[in-house]
Amino acid sequence: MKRFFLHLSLSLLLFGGLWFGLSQINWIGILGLDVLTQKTEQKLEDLLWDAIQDSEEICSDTEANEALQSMWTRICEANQLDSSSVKVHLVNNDEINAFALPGGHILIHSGLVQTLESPEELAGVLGHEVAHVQLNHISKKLAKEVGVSILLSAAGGGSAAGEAIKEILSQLSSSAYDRSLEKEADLKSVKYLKNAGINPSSMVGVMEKLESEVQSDLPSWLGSHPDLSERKEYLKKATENIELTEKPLLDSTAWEGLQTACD
Amino acid sequence: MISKPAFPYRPEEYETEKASNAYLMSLVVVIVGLPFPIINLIATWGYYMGQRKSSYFVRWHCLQALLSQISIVLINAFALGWTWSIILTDRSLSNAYLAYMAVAILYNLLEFAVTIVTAIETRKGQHLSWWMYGPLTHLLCKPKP
Repeated sequence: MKRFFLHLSLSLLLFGGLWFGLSQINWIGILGLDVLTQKTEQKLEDLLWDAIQDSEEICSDTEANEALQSMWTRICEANQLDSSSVKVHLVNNDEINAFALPGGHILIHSGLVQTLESPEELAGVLGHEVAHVQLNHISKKLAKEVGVSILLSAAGGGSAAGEAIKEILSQLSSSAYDRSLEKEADLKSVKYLKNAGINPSSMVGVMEKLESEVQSDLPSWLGSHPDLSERKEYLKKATENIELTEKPLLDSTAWEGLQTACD
Repeated sequence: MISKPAFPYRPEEYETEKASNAYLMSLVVVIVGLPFPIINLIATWGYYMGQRKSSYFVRWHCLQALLSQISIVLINAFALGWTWSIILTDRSLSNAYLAYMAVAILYNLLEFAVTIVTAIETRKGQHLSWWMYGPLTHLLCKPKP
């Protein structure tokens, strides 16, 4: 019995030691699996941003952009985030949407701002998109859903690059992340808002609005959108016992200005 | 890794053949066993159950072959689970994963080589006791009174 346990301990030690030792080697780099190097990522970020600037109208209203910036700065300062890591842009587009691009660009459609009822709700959306950026969800989504080959052809330029860029933008702007990533970003946003003295229960209101928008766009037999209902439920639970002293985010004039900035 | 302790008696020809087959059994199902590691264990367990009334030499080697599958099943099942989690969830490829796969492959190759050697030597009537599994088999398998 003693001999068996001695052998077992030595075997486990050898296995664990070998595993730990080999883990210290940069296999990802040696095997060339880190094809999306920083240089490639930077090029992709630039190409996607150029494509957005060509296809979308970015609102240049100074006051609206200052209002957005002040919301972003407040979230950053309260959460020790680098404010230069994210650039928030207001886009003149009636579609109710907001999404993040590689490089920390967050695009918020004017259609969404007009649908929301308060700056706190917009802060919830902003926090959610910032969480996607901070938690590196964009790269995960691109690698998984778009595929490394398309990413490389987009970054490589040439005739195929245009189509690849369109494909990437379509994936980033029109489809949701995995449920687990959406939940992670929602809960991170709750934390950001709470730290910044913004009531995170505003995010429940956002889900309700999105749910009613989705329902109105779908045939009645499809019923409610299951992902939004699920998100609304866990957000309710996550925000129900939060007590904080709220500080106003924007005054009513600034909020109205933001809502009508792209008109 | 392998030792050659003395066995209480010299096995007969039919015993060495049956004992050797226990090791061959785990090799035959290795192709199926890689994606579904439990198959290896089931096959060797089935063979052991079929031979449990055989002679001490046969039972001893059938049990050693069966026990040796336990670690390989655990290692391969963990490798399989980790691989599936990378494919199906947002878990990403890491140096720790690749290092684990390298160790798992090494262990599989080592086990494969040792199994072949043991199958050949057992067929010749040699009594080979493996590192760790030999002492455990010795504890669990006793000659019939």
